[in-house]
Amino acid sequence: MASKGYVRVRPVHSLGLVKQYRRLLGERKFWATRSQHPRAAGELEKLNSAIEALAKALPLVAPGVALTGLRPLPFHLAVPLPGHVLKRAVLAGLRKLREPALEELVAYIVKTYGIDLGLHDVCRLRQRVQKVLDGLPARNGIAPRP
Amino acid sequence: MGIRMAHIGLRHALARVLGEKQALERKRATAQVQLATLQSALAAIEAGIARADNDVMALNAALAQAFADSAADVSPRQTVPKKHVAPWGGMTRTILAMFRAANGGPLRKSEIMAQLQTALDLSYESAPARRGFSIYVQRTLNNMARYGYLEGLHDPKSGREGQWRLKVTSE
Repeated sequence: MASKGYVRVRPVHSLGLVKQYRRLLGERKFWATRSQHPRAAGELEKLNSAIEALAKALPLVAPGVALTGLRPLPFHLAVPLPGHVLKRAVLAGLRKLREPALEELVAYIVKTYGIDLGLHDVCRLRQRVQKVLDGLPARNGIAPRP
Repeated sequence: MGIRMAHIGLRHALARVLGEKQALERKRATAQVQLATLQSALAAIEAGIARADNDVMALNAALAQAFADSAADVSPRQTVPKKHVAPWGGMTRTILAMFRAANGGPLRKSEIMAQLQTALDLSYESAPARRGFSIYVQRTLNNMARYGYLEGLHDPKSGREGQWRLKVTSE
């Protein structure tokens, strides 16, 4: 079998694990502030066990890192619409609303797909819709209003 | 006479058995010390295995919980760190910097070794360690000469201390 070389835990691995720990802290904070949501209990339980497991593993992979000093990373729950579905929704909105403004189009998508704005990040959805619009060829009747 | 011989024979036999017993007692004492040493070594190994088990459990749990990964396909690997004096070409780089600072002037091996110890913060108290370091430096100098960075100003077979300088390259 060929040698795998001097494979070892490098700083990039340690930093990656620290970042994952901070990401999970951020996600836990996100769900903790939405504890009334039906998904929250399950998510919190899963996150707590993952954070606990990472807290035990971190001193082995990244020695010298003080866990108490780590701040949570901001977490946003993405709208669960894959790219092709979003594009279809944008096209449907453009046909139906006739030259809508961006906000109208986003509101249409939110309403059509029943997106929970208390949970999902509408700013990101707006950005994604804008990106889809930028990628669309301008045609009669379905071009967005500037 | 026969009685006397029998008496002496008994004494001889007793002395021999006593001697054997004494040797066995010495062996027993040695074995007991070895046993105690082995037991303490075994205890240290057991403690190490217990620590490793704890670490394995922690890392397994982290893999499973945070990344939904399994450790089933992770094969055990023992990594032995290399014993570099100055890793990643640090020795060669330092020697080259020394010669550049000398501005083309020659340097003796003892000077190079002294400067290296200062630059790389090394200290060799024992004679074998100094000897090892000397061989290490010598090999580095030879390699640098072989690759055309340095040239030796001494006769390598004279047994005298070597003198080296930067090789002048024609443009």
